[in-house]
Amino acid sequence: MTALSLVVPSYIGGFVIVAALGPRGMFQSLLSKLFNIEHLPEIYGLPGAALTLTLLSYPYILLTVRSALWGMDPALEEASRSLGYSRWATFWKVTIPQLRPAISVGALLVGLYTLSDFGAVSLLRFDSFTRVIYLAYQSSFDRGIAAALSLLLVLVALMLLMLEAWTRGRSRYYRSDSGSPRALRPIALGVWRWPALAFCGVVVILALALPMAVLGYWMVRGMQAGQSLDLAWTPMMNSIYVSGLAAVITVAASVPVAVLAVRYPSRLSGFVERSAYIGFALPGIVVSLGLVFFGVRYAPLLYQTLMMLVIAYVILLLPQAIGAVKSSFLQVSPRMEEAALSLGRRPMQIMVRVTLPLIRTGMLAGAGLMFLTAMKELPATLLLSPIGFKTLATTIWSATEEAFFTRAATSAILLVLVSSVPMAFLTLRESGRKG
Amino acid sequence: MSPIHSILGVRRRLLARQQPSVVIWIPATLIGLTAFLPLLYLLIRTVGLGNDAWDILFRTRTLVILGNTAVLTAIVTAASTAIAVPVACSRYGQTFLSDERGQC
Repeated sequence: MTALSLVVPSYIGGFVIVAALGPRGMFQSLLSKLFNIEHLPEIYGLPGAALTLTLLSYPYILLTVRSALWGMDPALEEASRSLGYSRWATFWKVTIPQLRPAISVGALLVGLYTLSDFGAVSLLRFDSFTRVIYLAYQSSFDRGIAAALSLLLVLVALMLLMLEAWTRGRSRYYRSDSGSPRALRPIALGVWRWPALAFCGVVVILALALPMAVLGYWMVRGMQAGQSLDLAWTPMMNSIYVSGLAAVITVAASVPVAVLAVRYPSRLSGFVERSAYIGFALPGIVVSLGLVFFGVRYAPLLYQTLMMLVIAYVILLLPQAIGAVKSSFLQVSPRMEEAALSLGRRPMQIMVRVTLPLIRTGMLAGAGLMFLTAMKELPATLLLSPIGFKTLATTIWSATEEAFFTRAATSAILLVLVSSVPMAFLTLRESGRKG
Repeated sequence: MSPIHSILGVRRRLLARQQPSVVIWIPATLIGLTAFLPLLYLLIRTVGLGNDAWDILFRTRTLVILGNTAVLTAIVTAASTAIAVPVACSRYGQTFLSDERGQC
């Protein structure tokens, strides 16, 4: 359950925080009714941005640490206890060092997420790179500044990647012999159970219950005020259309790269694959700004068309798509293709008749994921959408900026509903495979 | 075609497979290049600024933004770790608690 907040895009998180804790927000109106308090501590700026991003991104660390805990050998902790260390000392000297790689990988993901996040920092008006780049781009005298700052941001992201590799260092985390894996003994928490439970409870309330309460509250208020759902209908169709298009094209584009990487490993194919992964380290705002410059200067026909937006999505999503397609490709035995070859088929026929049907499920799952990610994407959509083309993401963002909380809430609920369809499909497939 | 010829034919084509066909590597290379496009144009644009680029990069404002971003990233990472590690540890305790209730 705690990992669910990964599905919530950061601008919805930002909206929830603003609508709940900001001026004219829920919390303030409640307090002013009850205690006549008119001013809350400022939520805009660093506190709000840090709170939002923490609540959204801690699951990255939670997931990596949890899987590391499951794989840990309890014998090490027992050895430590038998050598006279207390539980607390064992935790710090044995458990934590073993978890270090998991924590640092999770922290890297959180760091990259924070660096490239645009939605939360822009809604909470905190001047980090992405927001300043966007403002500089919008003021249109300063586009050169936007470009220079973008490059600086890329540099910072690369430095973060190197920092993570450095903290991992040269320690070894595997055992010298295989040992005998067995289940961990639980620790009786005793009196500590209650603080632990309370801590988890607070986290769940802040990360899950609060967003739902806020969205529901504004939605109901909007309906009471007689606001219809029509306003969100066109953006929703736009979102579905452009995300679907991006998903299909991205998966199609990832097939040749995956084929090259899996079947013909060479220096060239390695280079092609690595360059396709570049989107992983590039924040969305950087990719879209680069495309804006390219479009204005060299492709005026493409600029201000949907095609440009789809290209941006493809660049950003390609790493995920290649990962998905490649992993299902690796399961196709080359013997199968050789058998078809010996039966007299031409290579292209084999590709279409044998290989592609075999990786079809992997491609479908990949497309579902791409669709989800494209739906939630904000900065590229904001910069590259043709004028007048609104999606759910841009609607939520602009409505929150202008404090139209009901409109933002309606769109946010629609976005969550629409993206839960492929999500349910993916989870069902997963559980079907297990059963 | 005699059996021996068809086997030779398959072997020849198997050898030919070591080289990717044009249908594969041209699109793949194009896609790889497209992914580079945004970065390339940002670079061109920044270099086009000439000396102004250095002025922008070393302004106090830029340093403030850099500091802001660094502080935000540090806080979020530290706070996420502070939340996630205890939650992960307590959850794995609880799961086993329910599995082997007799031993607790």
